[in-house]
Amino acid sequence: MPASVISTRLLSFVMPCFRTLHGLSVLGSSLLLLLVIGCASERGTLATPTGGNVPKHSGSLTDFSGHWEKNYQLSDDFNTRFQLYVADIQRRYTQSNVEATGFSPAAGVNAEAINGLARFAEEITRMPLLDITQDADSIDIQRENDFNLRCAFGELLYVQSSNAFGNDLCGWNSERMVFRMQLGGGLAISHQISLSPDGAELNVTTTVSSDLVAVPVVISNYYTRFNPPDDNYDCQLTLTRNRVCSQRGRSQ
Amino acid sequence: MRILGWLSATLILMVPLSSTMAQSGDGFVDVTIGIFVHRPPAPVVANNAQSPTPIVAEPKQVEAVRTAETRFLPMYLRYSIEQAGNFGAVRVLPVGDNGAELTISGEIVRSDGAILELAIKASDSTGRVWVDRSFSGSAIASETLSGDAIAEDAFAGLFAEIVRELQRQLAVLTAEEVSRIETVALLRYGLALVPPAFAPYLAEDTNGVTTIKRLPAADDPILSRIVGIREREYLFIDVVDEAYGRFYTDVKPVYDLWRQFQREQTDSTSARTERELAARSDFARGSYRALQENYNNYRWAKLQELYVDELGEGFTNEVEPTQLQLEDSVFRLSGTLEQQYREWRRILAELFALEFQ
Repeated sequence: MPASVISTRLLSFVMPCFRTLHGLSVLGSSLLLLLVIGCASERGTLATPTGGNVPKHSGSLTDFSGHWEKNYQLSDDFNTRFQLYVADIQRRYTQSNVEATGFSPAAGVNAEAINGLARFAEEITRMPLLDITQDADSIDIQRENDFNLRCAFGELLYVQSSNAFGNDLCGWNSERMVFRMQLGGGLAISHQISLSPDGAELNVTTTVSSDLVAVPVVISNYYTRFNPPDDNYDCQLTLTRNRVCSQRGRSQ
Repeated sequence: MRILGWLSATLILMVPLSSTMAQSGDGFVDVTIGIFVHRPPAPVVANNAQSPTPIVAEPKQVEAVRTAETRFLPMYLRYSIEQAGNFGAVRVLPVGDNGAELTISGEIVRSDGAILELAIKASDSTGRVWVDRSFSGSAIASETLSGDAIAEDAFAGLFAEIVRELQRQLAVLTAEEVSRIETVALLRYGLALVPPAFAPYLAEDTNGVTTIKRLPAADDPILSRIVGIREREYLFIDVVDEAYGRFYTDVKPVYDLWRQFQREQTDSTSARTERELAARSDFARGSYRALQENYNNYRWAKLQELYVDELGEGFTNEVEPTQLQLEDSVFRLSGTLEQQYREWRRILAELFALEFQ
């Protein structure tokens, strides 16, 4: 089967599936014959030295702190993004016949993995609101319906940690803050955060890759600052009395 | 000589002697415990991103707990030693004590609510090392009929082991050796205050072991003054020690709760982690459900870390005012102590100069 035909069939199959992304769980068995085996490479992540101590950052750090809401006009439209993504797979798949790109037509395309990766990427990049607190040593990004992205970089360029289910690395890539997670099942996620020169817009570029899919999904979202309404209460967490709140302006 | 008389009277009138204070030469070894140190793990130094055991920096929220522990744990050791009843006065100090008979220093190696590991070093005034090793113990919930708070602590066993070790060392000492420890402590104290007068009495070998070369006369006026000054210094030290005692009492309920929550969290986390790691996924590798499953496990682990940080935050919010109060009072007292000490040194130097004129 010529590569162009395969590509057309792949695209025509995946696109409608993607438009009804959440309703999809089963893929056509004919396309499962096509399997692309490739290693997804990380893009825009930290340059990690291969040995020795972690270098220190320059000291002048971008301040991302504030309340941010998603700007849907500027952010990637997911369907458009997906079309480009599939087109990219198609292009690489076609080129793989003549170039050594790591794509093997003989191995085929794992459409379920491609679709799953895209659906998953869309899910973890919704993040309508971000609440960022930052000081000279750390950053804490509170996301709705997901865990906080935290990085206690101190003086270092990046720091690494792990738990039973994955490893992560966070730190500075020039003026950008990068969070990179390597999870089980060959899943890797990277969030790269940058600020516009005037400080009014925040960009979060998320790269999601799987070791079963050759091309990672890259989604770029923009956020604009907003001021949340004043809270009339000051609350403090305690161990013996749980959360203790006092009305703002009055002593506890 | 008038000046001498006035100075002596001033020194004697400055603070009345406490009748309850353990005296030097009482046959009991006095113990001075320094506040412990805690070395937080250094932030990551990994050779590469695939490093299997990366070192993780402790979150800021844990710092307050660690700081509190450096004061709380020596106080607990102090109460445990006191309860044993074999030693003289036991005090906790923020600064080194020149006249200490037995000095204990400690480093908190690990403290996560479930396991406590302390590196303890105890050495007497002659430089002899009593204990120099790590003590580790797991939390054991216990209750006593008497409601003894010391015995009911989750790590009472670990501290009892430290006390037993000290008792073992004490038991092998003869009365003469105990007396020597007391004498050397006093001479060392004098040496710190009036070096020219006390240097001829002591010798220290290359291993740090101090021996008595000769003794001052029993009615040596400088020695008498040194004894008086030391007793008065103990009064200041006791005030510092009391501040630590109040801190211990205030912090104990919160610290106990923090340890309990931390322990429960550790237990439930390891149970779920083991279960999840042992279970085989029902979903095809790379599928949406499989990716979601991997991410959810990771997210859950991250939320547990957040919970631990919140425990630390809750601890900090509750203990910080007490901690600041302690720092402030100890700072003021140790400042006074230091000023007083400087003044005494100046006076003693004058006395010394006058007497040898």
